[in-house]
Amino acid sequence: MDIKELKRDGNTMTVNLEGRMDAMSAPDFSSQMDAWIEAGLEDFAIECSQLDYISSAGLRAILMVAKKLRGQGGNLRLAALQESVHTVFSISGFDKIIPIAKTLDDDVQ
Amino acid sequence: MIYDQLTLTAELTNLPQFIAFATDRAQQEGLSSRRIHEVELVIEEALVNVMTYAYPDQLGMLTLMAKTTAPAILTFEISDQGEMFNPLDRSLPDVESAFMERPIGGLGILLMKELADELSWQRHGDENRLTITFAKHHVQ
Repeated sequence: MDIKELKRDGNTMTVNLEGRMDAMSAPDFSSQMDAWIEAGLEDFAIECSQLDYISSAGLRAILMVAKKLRGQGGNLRLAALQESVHTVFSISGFDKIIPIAKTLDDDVQ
Repeated sequence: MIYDQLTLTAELTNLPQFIAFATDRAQQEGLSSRRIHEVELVIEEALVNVMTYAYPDQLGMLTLMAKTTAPAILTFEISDQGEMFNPLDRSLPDVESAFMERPIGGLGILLMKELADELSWQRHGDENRLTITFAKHHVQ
């Protein structure tokens, strides 16, 4: 999985995820996000249009980052999920606790 | 019955090979790309559970077997010689709980139960055997 910084504006960052977020790659997401949070970033928009796959390891990594941010007054939202990835969020009920928008520019659904 | 299997050490670095094996068999069966995606997900969750809970302290072997048991029915069997571990006994997380109370565990089992058509587990001697069945056309 590739994790790319798309845009940074003050404490806000837009991130792009590409590939597969599975048990092998989820720790990379966690450590990169931790590094950005350590650096003072606190508001993240994660663009997922090229994220082809997510397993429970990825869900756990996202939930832990989202909880950490919420605890610090920050925020994490997701945008442009592929249908198969969205299904995983729906089954796990994560679509009710993590804001998900259709596109980066849209308001959260 | 088409019968095929892959045996490797139960470690995360072998996950891509196991998943490629499962994907290949699902493609041969003509499953849709959406269903293949679900097969990959269920197999990953099942394998990671074995690596984590059946072999918590030692490295053992893990076998993934694929067979076609009926037209348009693809069955996988995952076997290991680790500690007795039945994933189907584990409690499911409350998917309605509030954000900060939301548990981080149990999601893999939930996905397996939602996306596979049938799951069954048996202890055979010193072996855990988890059988996972996928119909070509899954009805949720």
